[in-house]
Amino acid sequence: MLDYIKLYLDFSKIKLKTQIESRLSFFILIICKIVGFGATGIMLWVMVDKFDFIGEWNPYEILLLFSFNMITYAIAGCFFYDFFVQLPKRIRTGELDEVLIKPLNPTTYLICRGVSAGYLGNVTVGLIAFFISVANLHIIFSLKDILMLILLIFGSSLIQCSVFSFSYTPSFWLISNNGVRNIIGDLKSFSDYPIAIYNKVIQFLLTFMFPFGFISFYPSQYFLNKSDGAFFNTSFPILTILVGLTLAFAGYKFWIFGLSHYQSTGN
Amino acid sequence: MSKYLFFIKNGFKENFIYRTNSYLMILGSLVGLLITVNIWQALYINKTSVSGITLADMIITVILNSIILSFTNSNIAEDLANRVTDGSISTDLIKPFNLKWSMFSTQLGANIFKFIFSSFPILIIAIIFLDFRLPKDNRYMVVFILSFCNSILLSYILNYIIGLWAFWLKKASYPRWFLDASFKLFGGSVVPLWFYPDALYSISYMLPFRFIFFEPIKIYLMKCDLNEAIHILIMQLFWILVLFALERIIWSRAQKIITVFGG
Amino acid sequence: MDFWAESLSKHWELGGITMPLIEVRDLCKTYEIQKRKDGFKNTLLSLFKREYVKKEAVKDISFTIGKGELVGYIGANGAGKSTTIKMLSGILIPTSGSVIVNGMVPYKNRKEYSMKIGIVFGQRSQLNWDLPMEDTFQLYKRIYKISDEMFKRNVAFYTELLDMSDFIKTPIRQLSLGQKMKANLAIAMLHEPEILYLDEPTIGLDVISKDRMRKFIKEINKEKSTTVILTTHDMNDIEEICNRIILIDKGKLLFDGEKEKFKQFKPVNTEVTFEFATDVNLEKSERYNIIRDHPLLKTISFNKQQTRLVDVITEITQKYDVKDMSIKDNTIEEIVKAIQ
Repeated sequence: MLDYIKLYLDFSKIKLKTQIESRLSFFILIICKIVGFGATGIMLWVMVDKFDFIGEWNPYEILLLFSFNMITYAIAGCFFYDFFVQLPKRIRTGELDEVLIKPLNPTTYLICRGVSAGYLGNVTVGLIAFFISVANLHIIFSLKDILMLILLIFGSSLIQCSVFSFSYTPSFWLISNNGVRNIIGDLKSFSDYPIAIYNKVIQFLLTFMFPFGFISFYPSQYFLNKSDGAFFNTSFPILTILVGLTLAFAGYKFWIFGLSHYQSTGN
Repeated sequence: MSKYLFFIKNGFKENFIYRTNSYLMILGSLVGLLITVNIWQALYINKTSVSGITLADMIITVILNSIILSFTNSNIAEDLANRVTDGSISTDLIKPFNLKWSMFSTQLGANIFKFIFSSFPILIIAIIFLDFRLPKDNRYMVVFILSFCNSILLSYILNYIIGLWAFWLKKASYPRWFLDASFKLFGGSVVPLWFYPDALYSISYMLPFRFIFFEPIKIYLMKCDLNEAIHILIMQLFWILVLFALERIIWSRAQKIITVFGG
Repeated sequence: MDFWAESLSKHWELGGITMPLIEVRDLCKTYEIQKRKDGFKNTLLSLFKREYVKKEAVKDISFTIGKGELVGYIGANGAGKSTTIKMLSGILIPTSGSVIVNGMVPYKNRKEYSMKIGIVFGQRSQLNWDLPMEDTFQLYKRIYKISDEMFKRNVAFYTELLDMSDFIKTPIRQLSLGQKMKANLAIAMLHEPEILYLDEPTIGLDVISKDRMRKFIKEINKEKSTTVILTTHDMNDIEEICNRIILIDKGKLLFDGEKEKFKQFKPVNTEVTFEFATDVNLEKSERYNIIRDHPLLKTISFNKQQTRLVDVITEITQKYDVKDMSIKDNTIEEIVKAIQ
């Protein structure tokens, strides 16, 4: 057992090594990612700058929301981006077979195979945003708060990981997966903004059906002492962890189900 | 000429075959519309106009942006970059048609599909529920349609040029990110340039991206007089010519790389 | 015909003393494929309603293979070869029937089973890490938990056998197809599997490389006593190295037996097409029949058992001005027809 853990760690090391070896290529990757996510962030900033408030949230509070989104996405993407985004291609070309003929757990193997340091850019941007926001809002962190922060980031990241699975696993059944991906992506982009600004139906959707509100909105409320939102409940911030675990488990099961379907129908 | 028509039909058909996907596209675009409209409605609470733009203006902007996006959202950059990185570009070059125009035509077919299955439903909803109107002066409508065609062409050639970067960068996904970001930041596809801080506006002013989204919408909303509108058309054509010329230069450099590597 | 019983008896015939290593019984694999109709109206209709057709890729196949055999599993394109291999290797789950290899069901005990097999896909390389060969070997050593001693031994053995010392330090992506195939073969064998599955290993290789690849396979089978199952649609692959041949067509098993018996089904007539420089009136001859007579292009057919190819060619080229000629190779399709 320990043997396997060591093996998987080594895979990850090898993958990261080969990625960083070409420093120019790695550098360009980071720049591109920063540009990509930076654009969304800047647009958010322009909006908030012009309109002062989005709902009851001021620019720095929006920045905190943004940092939560960015950091948790980076954590999830670091392990699962390559895993799931390459899935449609691997199914089409039959490359996925390679995973089934090795004496390894396919899931763990694909994670280690796909681990990417490219998210350092995202994490940096997210952390900078976080600290700017905290400084300007004069938020003080007690020990309990720090513990909460870690738990909430953990829970949110799990939700982000499950999003990868739900967005891409359908490619086992659908040849062209764009539709599913886009809908999930669109719904998730709702949570770039404080969901309290939307009407009740949408808030319901984002809290109980596609719990993207738990990625950054409800956790942020904890640190900002806010309680807006039609369905707000004091338990919500901490519920994030439960939501994360549940969705991650469901996402995993879905992936396994897809894989067994692949074995039944080939490609 | 008919071969390019064939490509257009093909590009359309490629997407049309996937039934579930088509349904989901309609759903997805409606969801997207819902989000964006909601956001702007929330932003405009207690405000009638910001920088001279009303909520009604913004809603029209959102709809038009989505229509333009359905026609400018293209795979050309990624597709071209992929062909370069896996070498199939060499076979493409010996086929009896111009690669550039064949990619444009195929993409046009795909975009027409996207328009029918995502923008068109949005348009219907917008007309019924969101008070979507045509510009009061018909002449503006004409100029808008012309500028819209220019937008599509501009977007394609930009995509193509960025795709050519693959000859030097050797990776396929970077061009896509870069373009999407540029459209957002400098084109006004998410937030129109009226709201931009001076610094960002100045940068966007010098780049061609605003002529894809922001300027045609400006014409539609009649936020400029007719002379300015025609001026925008001329500027679009100017950029198109410049970019085509740029593409020729980059292409000839790229050709040299192909001959060096051999495949 | 009860292929199962026949196959089992064949297994004893060919010297299998113990229980067969691989047992395949009534194996079936059925796919559902959407029926696509042409025309715009039908494409439109497909938005609402879909029809599916069942495709039986593999139907009621049964055979047994003993330890150490080198079996050629042949068939035309689309006959079901790859599907069978995928089921044998555990990638695909059969629709019905059973596959038992060394007491294990491939897709059920996947991890354990993978340790005992090696597999090479002709059209796909499994070397997806961008590392030099040496490092890739190390990687596989870790994956398959190969002991230091076995590892050293095998790396040396295969580097020599497959002539890889030139490119052992080159990154994978810079290798040619032939080199990649060699690398894939070495990696498949590093952990000394009991069974080696080869799915069209010579496809895309040039004539010389193909020949070498066949020799490697034969050598591996001999030196390491590895059971080898090789799928191909190239007759030459079989003729050179396999003792036992299983022929599959449209998912069904048509032939299972020794190579010599198989050869009996090969058509006796060979065709040669000549292209002449000038208009020629080909004389009739005892040796051959003229089956196509165009002014510059003529095809003749002769009985291989009665006449030698070289004699026919000599006779014609001596008498006439031959610009070009081509010899029609035996194809699987002809043999299939002959057997049915």
